[in-house]
Amino acid sequence: MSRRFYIITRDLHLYLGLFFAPFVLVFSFSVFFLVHSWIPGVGKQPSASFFMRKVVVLSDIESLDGRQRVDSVRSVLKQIDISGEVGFIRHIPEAHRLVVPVSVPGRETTVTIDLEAQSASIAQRTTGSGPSLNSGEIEQ
Amino acid sequence: MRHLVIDGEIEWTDSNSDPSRFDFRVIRPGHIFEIKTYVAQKRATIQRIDFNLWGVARVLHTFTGVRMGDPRNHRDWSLTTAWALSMDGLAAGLILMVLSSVYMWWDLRQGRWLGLLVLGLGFLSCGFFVAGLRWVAHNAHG
Repeated sequence: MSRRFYIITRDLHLYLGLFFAPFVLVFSFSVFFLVHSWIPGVGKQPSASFFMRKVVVLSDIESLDGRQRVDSVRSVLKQIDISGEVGFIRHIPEAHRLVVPVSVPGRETTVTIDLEAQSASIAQRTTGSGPSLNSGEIEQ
Repeated sequence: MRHLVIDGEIEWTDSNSDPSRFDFRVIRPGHIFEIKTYVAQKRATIQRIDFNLWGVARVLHTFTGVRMGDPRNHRDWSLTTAWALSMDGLAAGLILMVLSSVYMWWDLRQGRWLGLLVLGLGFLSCGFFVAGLRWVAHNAHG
């Protein structure tokens, strides 16, 4: 029993180690750049674009909270083909607007949903893949 | 800061339009000090924010003393430099550990093909997160 356990543990150690080796290498190499805030190419001007689209927004989206609001916003994002991690959704009640930051590695998108006009303005900023790799959250 | 008995990494906050004010922030794992100095009155107000253990752990993940795209802030606390260098040392150790492990596996001779397959799968899945995810999101936009 103990011999078998040893062999299984040894093989798991070997093959799991080999599988995760590239992840550890990417993590380790990125540490040098991120700790010293030096990433080749990040100093260059990020490219930005802006466009507007008509969307269909649920009428009660303003009254929704938390996960329900995120789910409703996701349906709007689907209409305009924006995918990624949704950050903190800012609600501006007096203007009837929702400001939604969406990130994928290398690109930050800010979608401003005008609930009265049923439109969405989309501002995109290409940042390169560096800053997003070791960051699991979106800073506001 | 010596006068206020505060030690830590200085972070310059947004520029203040009031010339009689001199505001800055001092960060150290576990605490943030927001310091507002009224130069003419020779007075300072200090707001101290304390973190619990999880807060300290979170800060240690991002505490480097420098920030991307912010040339105003430099490392000015010796402990921040020590922490950053220890992160470099840890990363170098991990690279050494991975490379020496790959070398020892290759020298085993048995299980080379299975190992190559697993290593290849590792590279593929890692490549997906590093480059492929961006490509997928880009194509989703059309």
